[in-house]
Amino acid sequence: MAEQASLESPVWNRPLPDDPELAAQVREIREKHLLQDARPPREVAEKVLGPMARLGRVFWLALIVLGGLTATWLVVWAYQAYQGMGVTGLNRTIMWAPYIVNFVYFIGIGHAGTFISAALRVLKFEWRAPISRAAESLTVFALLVAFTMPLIHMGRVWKFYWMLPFPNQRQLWPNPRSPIFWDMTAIFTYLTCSMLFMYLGILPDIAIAREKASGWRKRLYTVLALGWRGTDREWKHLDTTLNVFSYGIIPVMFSVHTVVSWDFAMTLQPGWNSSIFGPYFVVGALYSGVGAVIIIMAILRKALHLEYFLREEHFNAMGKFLLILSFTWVYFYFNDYLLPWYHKEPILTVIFRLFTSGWAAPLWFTMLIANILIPWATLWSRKVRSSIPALVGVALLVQAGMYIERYLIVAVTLGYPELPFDWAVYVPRLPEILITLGVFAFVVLGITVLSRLVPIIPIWEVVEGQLLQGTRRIGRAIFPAKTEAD
Amino acid sequence: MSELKTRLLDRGQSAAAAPKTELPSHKWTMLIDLDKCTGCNACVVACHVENNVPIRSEREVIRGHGQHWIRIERYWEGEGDAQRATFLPMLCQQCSNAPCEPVCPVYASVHSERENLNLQVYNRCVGTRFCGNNCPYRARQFNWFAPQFEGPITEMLNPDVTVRSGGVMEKCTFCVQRIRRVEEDALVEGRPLRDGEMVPACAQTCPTSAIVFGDRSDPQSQVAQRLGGQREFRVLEHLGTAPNVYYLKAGGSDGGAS
Amino acid sequence: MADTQLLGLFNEAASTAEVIERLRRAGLGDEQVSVISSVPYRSRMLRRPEITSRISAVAGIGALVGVVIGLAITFGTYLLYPLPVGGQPQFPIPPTLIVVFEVTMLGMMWAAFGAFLFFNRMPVFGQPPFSEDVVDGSIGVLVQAEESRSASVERLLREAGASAVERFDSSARANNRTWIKMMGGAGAAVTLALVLALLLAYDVIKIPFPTDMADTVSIAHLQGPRLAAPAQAVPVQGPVFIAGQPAVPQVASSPSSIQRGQVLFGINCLMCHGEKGQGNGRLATYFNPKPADLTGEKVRAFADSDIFLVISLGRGQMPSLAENLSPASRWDVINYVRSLQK
Repeated sequence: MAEQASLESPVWNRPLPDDPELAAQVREIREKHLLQDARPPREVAEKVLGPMARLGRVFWLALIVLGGLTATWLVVWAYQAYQGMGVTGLNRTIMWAPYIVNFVYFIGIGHAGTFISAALRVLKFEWRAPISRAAESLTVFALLVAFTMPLIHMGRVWKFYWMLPFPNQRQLWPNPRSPIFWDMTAIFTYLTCSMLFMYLGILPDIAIAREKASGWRKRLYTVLALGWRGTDREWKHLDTTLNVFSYGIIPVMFSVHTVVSWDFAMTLQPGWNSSIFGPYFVVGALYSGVGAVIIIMAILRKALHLEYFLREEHFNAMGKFLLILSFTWVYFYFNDYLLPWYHKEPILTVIFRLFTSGWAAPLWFTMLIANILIPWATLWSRKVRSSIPALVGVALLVQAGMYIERYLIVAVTLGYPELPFDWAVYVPRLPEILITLGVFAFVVLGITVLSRLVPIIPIWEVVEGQLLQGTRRIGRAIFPAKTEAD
Repeated sequence: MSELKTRLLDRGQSAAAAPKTELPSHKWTMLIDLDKCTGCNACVVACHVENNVPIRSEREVIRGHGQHWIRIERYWEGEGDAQRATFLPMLCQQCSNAPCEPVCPVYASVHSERENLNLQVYNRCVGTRFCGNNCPYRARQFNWFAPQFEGPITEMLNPDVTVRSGGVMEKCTFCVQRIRRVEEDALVEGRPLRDGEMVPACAQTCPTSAIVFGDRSDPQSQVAQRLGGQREFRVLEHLGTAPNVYYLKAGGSDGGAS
Repeated sequence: MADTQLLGLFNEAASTAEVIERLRRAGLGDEQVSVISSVPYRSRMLRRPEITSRISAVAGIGALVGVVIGLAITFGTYLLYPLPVGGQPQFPIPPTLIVVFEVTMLGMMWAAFGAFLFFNRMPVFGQPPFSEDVVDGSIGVLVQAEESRSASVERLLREAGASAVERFDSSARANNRTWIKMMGGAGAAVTLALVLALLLAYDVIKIPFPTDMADTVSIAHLQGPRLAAPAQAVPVQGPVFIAGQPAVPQVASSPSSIQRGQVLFGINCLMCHGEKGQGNGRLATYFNPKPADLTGEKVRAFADSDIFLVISLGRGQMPSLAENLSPASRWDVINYVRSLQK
């Protein structure tokens, strides 16, 4: 070991203060905060990379069940495409229901991933560091599923490519006035840029994994790492590119769900042509998305033994975020539904009464309890937010509540056009139920497999954060202190 | 050389002598007198036969997969002994500001400005059903399954009208195949269309002549003369769709159908 | 004059900054020194000059390209496809704004990613200088020096406290060539895929598809044969099938009818079906399938009304002769054909 002509020791070797009271404070800070609890990078990497290769029984069981459901999805889709859309419960009044509900829901939960990795990066929220990649993976798989949903609900899905603008012999072209065209450009932009954004963030970690792996994993990581070494030029370019992506993908994120909401707002369907749909959908997306990220975090923490990385502070912060989003969502929901209550426009009154006292009332009240009552009653408490089972329970309820909300907007409201003769009720049938289960399974399957293939915790961001954070003493108290390096 | 000269010099005269191939513009309008409508559904049957609309089973119709380009909407009003039914024949209103048109991602639903009709291009439709949602009258019908025409029923099919495959939207076209035929006949004979020459299948069949069809840009036509009365109304006019189907209120102080 | 690359590994930022200062004083410029680490160290921490990354500029150019493409897609469509829809103006601004925005962002971010790959010459082929210790937290200082100086540089690094010093041969230039070749190959593959897609789109490569509505089940006017009535049905002769025609009774077979029929046959039928009706007329070579042999088994089995229908409505490539022959004339032709069959 060469002599170190250095002024300070590496950040993971920082000694505790001599005073026992101060040392106790520092110990407590290190226990609570990941970025204060620096360990040697080799150890941090091992904590992430080690569990990836250890595939237990639960993993294989999950793989079989989820894979089976995913296969069911594909088979039922093929059956539906062959037989015709009539095998679903759709009818001449309600022409959009199950798949569009899924479409809106999955694009919605994709937003949280982008928000956490891009917006929180821009705002310099350091606690996002271990969560961001899991959230991004949720975005990627949710968007992939959402991309297939409009295909599943098309009558002649084999001609889907007619919606793409490409030169052809028949001189045909799609219609840029259609909200579906806007959907395609927005979701394509969002999906590809989310994937590139995630890939950029993963590169340095794949390089770490490349050095530590062997066998087929080493070959895979060598290819995926693109030869990343970590020179200062490479880091500078990465930082600039991540900045461009962070600043770029935030407006895209807002625009995507707004464009999705315009699929509904551009129609004359009562209950749909509301100008508040744009921001209302975006906030709803973030709300359900943050809940989904909490669930994913809890599952990954358990499955990959990531207790070192995902601590109480992260769940606490996400719980607070969920509560704030709950307030925001209620604000928009109240705005939207105050109107029909107040002014009694006939068709809107019919729909509103359907929710409050009609056949849709059980669904509506379940949604209110799951989205408003329970989060507001529990998430203010730090104890609930810090308890992972409780927080996951609330998050699951939020998922159910938001799914019901989308269902009420799409499937129930659509059955009530202006002419009463055409009123109808949508009854889900087996094909769409199986397909819905299948796509949920696919998202979970995708994240499960991905978490075993690539490091699901950004090692370099955690180590960088630990490098830049320290403690500061004021009087007899010691506080965690952050360094703003940029 | 002289042949070329002849061809070039003759060009102008030949063009003048060539028959006119431009078709005139129309404002096709349908007028439905609700006082005369008895709800007999003959128009529905006639439309099925004329336009190769598939006949769905009773079970399918109950499930909501019925396909009727024109349907008689029946509303019950009143209670007990005073209860009566009012009939509203509902079909594609051929809106001038059709909400179904701009939302189609593949331009399968476009407007003909010359004829003021809403056109549906079957072989371009990919089946996203956005147009069906956006129609406030729910006039658009979707082929939930591929239509099955077997045996002698194929003899009934109108060869002038496409038989649609599954997954394609369709709707009333004001019997555009008949419009084409009468227009071409008139063009060949070098005369304008006469009022009453173009009759869609529903108007042709209606036993009480409740359905009247014509070109309201022709002031001599029956529709033009019957429009503008006190009984006239259009359905869901406030949505700004500018429909081209006018209804005449049924008699009675309650105003009849909505 | 070969260059060597020397990689010295240090434990943390302060000693790294000091050794960089020493290298600078020893005359090694900032271009010859680079730092390799597994977390990003800011230039100021190591007393290095700020590196400007031109990726932002490229992203800006990408955004402009996106704007152009977005406007081309939207305004190009409005100009080339002036299809009126929904009472909207021919050049609607709001949909244009939406599409242009999305495509602009797409262009910006894809350009940034492409620039990232380009400026880093990624994917990197070959084995550029690297050490596994970097991944475990060491900071590598990579010095590119001439062969002659390499010993003194190594001494300098060790004196400054390097935990290890490794030597590499200079292979940067080779990497550039491989990179250009590989990216060229990737570009060619993408272009090939696009060309293939265009060939499919322009029907140069045709894929037959069964759901085209051109194959309709409805029977057109010139298609035949239509069904004849079943044997036990009330006899309906040919004319009743044809709208607008008065019901004309069948003309009985007589020498004068056959003679008239022969004349008419010669005018209307002979050129395809042949003089004796055997399907060997002058024009028969142009048809596939050939015109029917009227003296053959199949036509002998036809009822008279069936032949009447075929003449009136056409069948396959045979046109309808309804405008050429009045119903009575058609019966004359039929009588003549029956005489040929004897």
